[in-house]
Amino acid sequence: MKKYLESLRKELKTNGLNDIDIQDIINDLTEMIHEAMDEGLDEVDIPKKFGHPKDLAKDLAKDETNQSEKSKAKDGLLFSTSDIQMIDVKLYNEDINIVSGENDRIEVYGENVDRKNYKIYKESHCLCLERKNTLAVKFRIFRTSNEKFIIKLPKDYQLKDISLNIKSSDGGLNHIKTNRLTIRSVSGDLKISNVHGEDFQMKSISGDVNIKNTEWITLTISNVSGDFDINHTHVKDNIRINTVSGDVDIFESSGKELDYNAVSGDLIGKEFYPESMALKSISGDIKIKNKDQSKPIEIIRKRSLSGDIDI
Amino acid sequence: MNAQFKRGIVELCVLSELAQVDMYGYQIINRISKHLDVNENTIYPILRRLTKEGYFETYLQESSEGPPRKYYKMTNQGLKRYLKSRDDWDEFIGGVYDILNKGGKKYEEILRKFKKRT
Repeated sequence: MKKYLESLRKELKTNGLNDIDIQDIINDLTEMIHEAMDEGLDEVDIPKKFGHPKDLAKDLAKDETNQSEKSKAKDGLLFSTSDIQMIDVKLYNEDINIVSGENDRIEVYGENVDRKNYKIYKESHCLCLERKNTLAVKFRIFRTSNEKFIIKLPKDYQLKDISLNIKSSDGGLNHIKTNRLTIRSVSGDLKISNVHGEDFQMKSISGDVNIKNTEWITLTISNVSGDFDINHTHVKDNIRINTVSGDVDIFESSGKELDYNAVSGDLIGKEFYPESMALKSISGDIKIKNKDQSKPIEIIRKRSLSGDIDI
Repeated sequence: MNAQFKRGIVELCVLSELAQVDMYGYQIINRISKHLDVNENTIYPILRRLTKEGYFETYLQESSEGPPRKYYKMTNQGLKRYLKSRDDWDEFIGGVYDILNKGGKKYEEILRKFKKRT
């Protein structure tokens, strides 16, 4: 037994384990071998039952290194790529942030995520990040908080398409250029700032959305009960907003034509200068307050059943 | 059977054993190797790794037969891991049986189906 343990100690050392771990392992093995010998295990059969020192040491060393790799993957770089034109994200409740960084490659980082639950891959020119559809996800048994993905793009990187399909994830886009931006969200809150592009389509059920410092050619928002806060956003062509009961606030923004449909949500505009507006509301109020009288707004249509319209 | 695959199964068994009651190392090895044809020397490294990952805590307890024993106690995180692993396992093995049973559940049925074709 002594010989076995000595030999194991040597092998553990060769495999690069530290002294504390080695002593811990030797203590465990001493205890277990004692138990086994009390039950009648013969001295010569120790290696057979507990493994040859070489194999056992290798086995233990592999797990120690695996673990450090795993923790690295847990909080850090998960994927790095280049030559990407599209980003396609499908997540459940993990936070997602797409931002511009300092590197010249596109990088996906994870925080507190279990890599095996996700697929991250590149297909033609598309970077895809998906949550695997396991039973545990379907029934939301293992909702752990703080799972977070960050996609970092090179500075001023021009993308063709970003598509976000998320359920309760919170998310953000910051300093991004993309021709198309499509977001479908159920209940996550989103912050979109400093994003420039052509076509932005946003569908949300109950998440709150904050849009700030952005420029588009067309902007389409479809929303059930979340609140929208739109700040410093300039749209060359049409703005379409459909909302059921969520409120929409627009501040210091402009557009060509606003097509607004609401059931009970309120629209409040301050320093908001579209060239024309078509407004329809059932019971929501519409209030637009502008200081600059030199930019009159043409009202194409104005209909409300019971809400107040004040421009 | 594939070693990697066996390792996953042993991990699940270790989690299951410790979900029930605190145990010392040799006890765990004995209880598992009694039921499964696995190399006993694969169990300790798995036990150690799971402990390092925070799924078990350890404490020493006096024993009447000799020196104190190191007991392993499952943490909340360990229980969560067990339930998740078990879920994955159930789903996986369920899928496997869906495939296997398509060809028949019993030997006679499988043979009969096979003979019909030849």
